[in-house]
Amino acid sequence: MTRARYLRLKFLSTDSSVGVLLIAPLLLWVFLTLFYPLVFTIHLSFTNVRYVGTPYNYVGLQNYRSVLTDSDFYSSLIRTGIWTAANVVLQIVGSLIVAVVLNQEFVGKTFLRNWIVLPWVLPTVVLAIMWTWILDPTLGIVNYILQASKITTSPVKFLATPSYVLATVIIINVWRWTPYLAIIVLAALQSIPKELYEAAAVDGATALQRFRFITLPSIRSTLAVLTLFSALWSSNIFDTIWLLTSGGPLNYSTTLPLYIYRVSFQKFRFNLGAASSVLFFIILALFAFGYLYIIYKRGLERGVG
Amino acid sequence: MKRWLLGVALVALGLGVIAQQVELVFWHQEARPHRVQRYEELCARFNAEHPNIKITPVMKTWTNIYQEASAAIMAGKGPDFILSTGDFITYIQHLGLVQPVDDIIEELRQQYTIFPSYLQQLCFGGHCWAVPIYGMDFVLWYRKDIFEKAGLDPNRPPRTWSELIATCEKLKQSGVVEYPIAVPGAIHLATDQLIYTLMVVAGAEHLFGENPNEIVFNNPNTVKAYAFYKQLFSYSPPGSETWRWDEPRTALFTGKVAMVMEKGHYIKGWVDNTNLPLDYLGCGFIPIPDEGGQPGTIFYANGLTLLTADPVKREAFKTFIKWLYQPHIMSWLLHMDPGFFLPPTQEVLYSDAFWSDPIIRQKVAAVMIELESLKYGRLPGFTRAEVNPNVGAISAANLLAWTAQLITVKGLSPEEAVALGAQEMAKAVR
Repeated sequence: MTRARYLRLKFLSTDSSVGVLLIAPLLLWVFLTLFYPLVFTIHLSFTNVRYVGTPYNYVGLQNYRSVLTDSDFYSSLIRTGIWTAANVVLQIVGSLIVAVVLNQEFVGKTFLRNWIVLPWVLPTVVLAIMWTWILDPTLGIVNYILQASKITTSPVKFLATPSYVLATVIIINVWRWTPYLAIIVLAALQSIPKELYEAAAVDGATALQRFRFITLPSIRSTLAVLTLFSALWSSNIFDTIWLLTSGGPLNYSTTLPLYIYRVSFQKFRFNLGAASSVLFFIILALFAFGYLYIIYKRGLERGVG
Repeated sequence: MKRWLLGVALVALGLGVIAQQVELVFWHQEARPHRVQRYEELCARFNAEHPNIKITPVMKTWTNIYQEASAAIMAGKGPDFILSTGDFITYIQHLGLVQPVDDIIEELRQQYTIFPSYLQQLCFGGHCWAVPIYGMDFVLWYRKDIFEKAGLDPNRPPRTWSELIATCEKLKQSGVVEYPIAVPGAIHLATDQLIYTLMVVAGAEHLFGENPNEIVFNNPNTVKAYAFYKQLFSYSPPGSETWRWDEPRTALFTGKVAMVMEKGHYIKGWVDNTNLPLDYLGCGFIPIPDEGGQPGTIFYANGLTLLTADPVKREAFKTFIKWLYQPHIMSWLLHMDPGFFLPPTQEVLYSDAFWSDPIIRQKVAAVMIELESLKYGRLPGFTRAEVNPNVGAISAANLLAWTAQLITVKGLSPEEAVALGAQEMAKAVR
């Protein structure tokens, strides 16, 4: 046996080496589709390029100065914070309630478990058209009900009124994503041993106490991961908002992804779009690492890290 | 042996033909299925008649073309020629591949009379950047049947702004329709187009001064146009702040409203989507202000822009254009959406081929109104000899519509909104 063949066999004989080989294509794919665009975006953020493909010069930190002095950037950032926080809270609480209900024994349980994911399966375009018609001030069912039941006297312009638009889009997004998260929470609930509940019942624990002292601690790690994912997914959502309102009326539903799109592709300032993207990336990365650090630290404190 | 030699000769001949064949990739942004089909048929017909040229049509959309064109051209995978408008040309010019087509236009003008409105938008900065193939403009569409029910003359659409308001009032009071007119209000091209149409008839067609860097948007005529838009908006259904192209059309076709100002695609849309007689769809000129008004509309000249410097491909492109400009071929292309696509030359307009389409024959008066309006058609930023190279940024950011929302959503006065709009425009073209 040659030395090269010996080394190759030795490399392949270890579990970690096989793992590296199996994951290598995926890593390469991630590198090509994520890392390269990221580096290119960072590169563009230091130039004065207006249109991709045209000549440019390096301008140092000028784009970052422009973005950080743009009031629209800050209002979009604040809106992104409200959008993300509301989505996370409502989705996590909603999914927990739905999962607990679905975890009970009742007639039609299987049917409900299968069909509840329908909002999540719907293509975004279909969802946007559907909700636009449902909420239409003159033809929509919601306004019809509101007026027929004398709750309002004139049509409510859900997607056209500055004070309603963000809340409306948040509710639609929560409606869409909650069932998906509920299915994940349900899977976690089903992994809790039934004996724990039986023992608690024997000890006289109420339903609320069983939920608080058995259910919640058992699915805490699942909820923690879901919270992170929900926050990252929500903050990055573009299609739902764009298709429902295009960020309007005026900028009242413009979150950072829409702001970046507008700056890059409508105002043709790729340099500013790139700088905004980098800033957004840093904010998300800081949030993710900070959150993971807190979760890790709390885990250590509890002795489960 | 003889058979073998014959075979070799045939193969060589075949290879020779293939080697000489010039291939051109053509991007067009006519994404509706019947238009995609007509473009494919057009290229197939040309290719069949010209075995040494092969044109491959590729469908894109106006929504994404700005991004796709820059990415493709940057990667060296752009098309050889592309469907364009004046403001799109100013955008792709930044990418450095747009070829002047002055010689082709000159050659065509020796044989055909190209309408000046087209060249006004496609020729600027001393050169022509696209060969016109068709155009489209805004007119007033109205429901004759609803007018009749409301006691209005179905053959006399409103001609002035005061008549339009009076018509709205009468329609509303009659109770035949709850909302007399549909007005788009989203930050979208649909709103831009309506606003600019009102600006043109109000005498505010210039966004720039003689110096293309000077914004002259903030002037009394623009304010007058926005004030009238605000008035019309009050007659439009609630929620019009989010309306784009489809909602006003649906509202008119379903009889929810009686009037809409839009382009000529309403004719085919009516035929395809309603079971009502085409006679019910009336057409009129864009109403003008009672004082100081001028006939006008927004007009889009569409042309073919050459993006390759290869002389062989340029010759092939020229051959295609000459073939396309024959009135019977051009008419056939325009019939993909009868009454929407207006002819670029007098020869097509006067040809039997153009008027042979059964839908156009039914709507002769409407098509004549569109054609007459074309004479007064304008496009934002293309009303002066010199064009600001960044004018596309104003259109792409929908700043006319943004200004309108300052009025309809934020409640600013037309004066305040126009002043802020002018500031945004200055930022956009800087």
